[in-house]
Amino acid sequence: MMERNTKERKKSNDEDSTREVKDMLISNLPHHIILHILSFLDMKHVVRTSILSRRWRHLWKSLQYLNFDHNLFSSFYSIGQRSRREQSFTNFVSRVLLLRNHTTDIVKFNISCDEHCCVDSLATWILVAISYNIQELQLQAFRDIDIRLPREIYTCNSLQTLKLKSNSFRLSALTLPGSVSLPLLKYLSFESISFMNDKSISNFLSGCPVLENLFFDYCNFRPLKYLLISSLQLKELVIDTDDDYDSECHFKIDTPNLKYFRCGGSMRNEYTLLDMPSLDKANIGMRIEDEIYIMYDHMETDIAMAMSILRSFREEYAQRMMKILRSLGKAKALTLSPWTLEFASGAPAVLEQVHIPFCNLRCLRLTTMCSTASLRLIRYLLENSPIIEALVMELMQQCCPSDIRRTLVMKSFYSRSIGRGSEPEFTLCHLKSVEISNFLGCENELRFLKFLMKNATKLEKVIITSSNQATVRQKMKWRKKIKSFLHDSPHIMTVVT
Amino acid sequence: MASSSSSLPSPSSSSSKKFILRSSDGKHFEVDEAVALQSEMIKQMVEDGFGGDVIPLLNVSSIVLSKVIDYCKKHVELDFKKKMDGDNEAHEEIKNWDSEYINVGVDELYHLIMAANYLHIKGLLDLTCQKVADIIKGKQPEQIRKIFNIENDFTPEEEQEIRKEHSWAFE
Repeated sequence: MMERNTKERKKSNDEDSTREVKDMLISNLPHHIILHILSFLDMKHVVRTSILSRRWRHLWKSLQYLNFDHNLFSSFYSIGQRSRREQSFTNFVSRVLLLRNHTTDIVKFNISCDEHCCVDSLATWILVAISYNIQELQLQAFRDIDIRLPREIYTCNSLQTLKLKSNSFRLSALTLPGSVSLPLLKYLSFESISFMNDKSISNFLSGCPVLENLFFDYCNFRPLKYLLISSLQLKELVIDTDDDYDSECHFKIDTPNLKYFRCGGSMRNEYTLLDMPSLDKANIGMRIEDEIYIMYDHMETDIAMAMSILRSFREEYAQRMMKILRSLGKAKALTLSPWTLEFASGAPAVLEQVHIPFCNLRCLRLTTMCSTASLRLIRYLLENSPIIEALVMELMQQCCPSDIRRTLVMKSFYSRSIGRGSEPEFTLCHLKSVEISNFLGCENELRFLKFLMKNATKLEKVIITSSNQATVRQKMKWRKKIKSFLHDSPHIMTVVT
Repeated sequence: MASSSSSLPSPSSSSSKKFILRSSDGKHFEVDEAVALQSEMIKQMVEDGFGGDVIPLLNVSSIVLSKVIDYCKKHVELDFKKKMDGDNEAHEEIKNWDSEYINVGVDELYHLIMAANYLHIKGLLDLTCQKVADIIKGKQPEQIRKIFNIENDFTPEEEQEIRKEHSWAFE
């Protein structure tokens, strides 16, 4: 409990000094703070506070942050009653907009509705919000309705943030308008949206001169073969694609002031990144799910077929991954997904040809299957990162798969890229900390650890967290081995759990 | 998941400039510059040339101030980590720390809100106000009045009338 002395009480309470100073509690907070509290609540809860006391009665009407969630109007309704629920939701939103204080702007309009929510009402509400100089519009539409927003939102002079999201297995299609002028828009986010027209996105961006944050999360670009993302002020860009089996898009990214970049999705998509001199962090999370499914399908019947499928895309994907990595040379922190690692080293010639110094890289964060191919790339990255200080690795269990058949394919596939006997030696003179989680003590893991302890001359700290699949006997065994690596460097602090 | 413990050295605290903050009850707190500047109010004072010696904070008692400083210290540290750490890790850690920090009684919450408002610490103001909102969420008016000590100054007739007037929200 906190002490409340009289002096303090008087001071912070001068706004309500005429009232009895008995309890210095929430109800005595200044108006603007109570409104701030209410801005975190759904309007349904907000309007209900009008009954608390005289002071609260009209407070909600001056709220500038309006959140509406149709879910709060739903309970177990039968199909016949469903429309009634939507009716009461529509009624509620309309009444709030009618009754609220008309001299107060709307800063944020955040609404989540589903297919029964009348599309016409939604358009009207948005138009009302625009007339109150809306700064932030957040729309979450359930089910696969096509999102159609009134054209006026795309030329709204006050809009700073626009977030569109669909919450379904089937994405909502969004048709973007031909003409866009959003002079203040800084933050633009699409989630689970599919785009139909290749010109519209590039065109949209050209109408947003001060855009700083752009997100495409689980978006589908299937009809697009080429997409140019060009934005001068952009600081943060995320492109995570939800691909169809035949999606194949070439993203060209021209964002000279980018600080943060993340991409994920199928390797069938190609990325061309132009120079990004101020890049701080990059996260490359490419996946090859579809290819793996195809491969496994064949594996049951025909291993040779599976192998040839693997080989057919290996070289191409390797080139693509290296192309991305080559553009990230300025990054200070880099995060790579297991498949990105696996493929970037997939074609042996690729590594030898290009030399990329990651001259700013201080922190490398990896999730890896710890295959020989991946380790080869990790060594390569370390070798080319002259000032790297921290390495964080999360290991995946695939390095010791239980499925023997899978192991066979994987092994023969990856063993092609092992440069046996020719492991170049180099010194890592800035690496201070190494964290490895999910450690299982496989041969590759131990070999890599040995390599690090031998070559990282300034290593201060090694933290190893063992996999929960490791048995006590396994743990004992590799603990002993790690101890033996450390024999020559007693100054390294090692934590093994 | 990778361990959330820092993989990089913390920002060095020995070399940076120090500020001395004085609470309303006259206690002194020495803090790093970066920690003090989490407060927009202090930042403004420093810019106006008042950062020389002791910064008096007339509206914040020592008990509250030390709790506020905890928040600022942790967030300076987390901001630094965020620069290098994975996004999920940093985000997760901030979320966990904040929810632990804000697990306090209504009285203390009130004092933290007032301090955050006075010192202009946006993150802390959002955190504390969000907490109050979470408490209000889904509660009946009677419960809210009780928790926050709100006196019901309506007559029963008036209350009935308002309920009727707002029936569209009480369905």
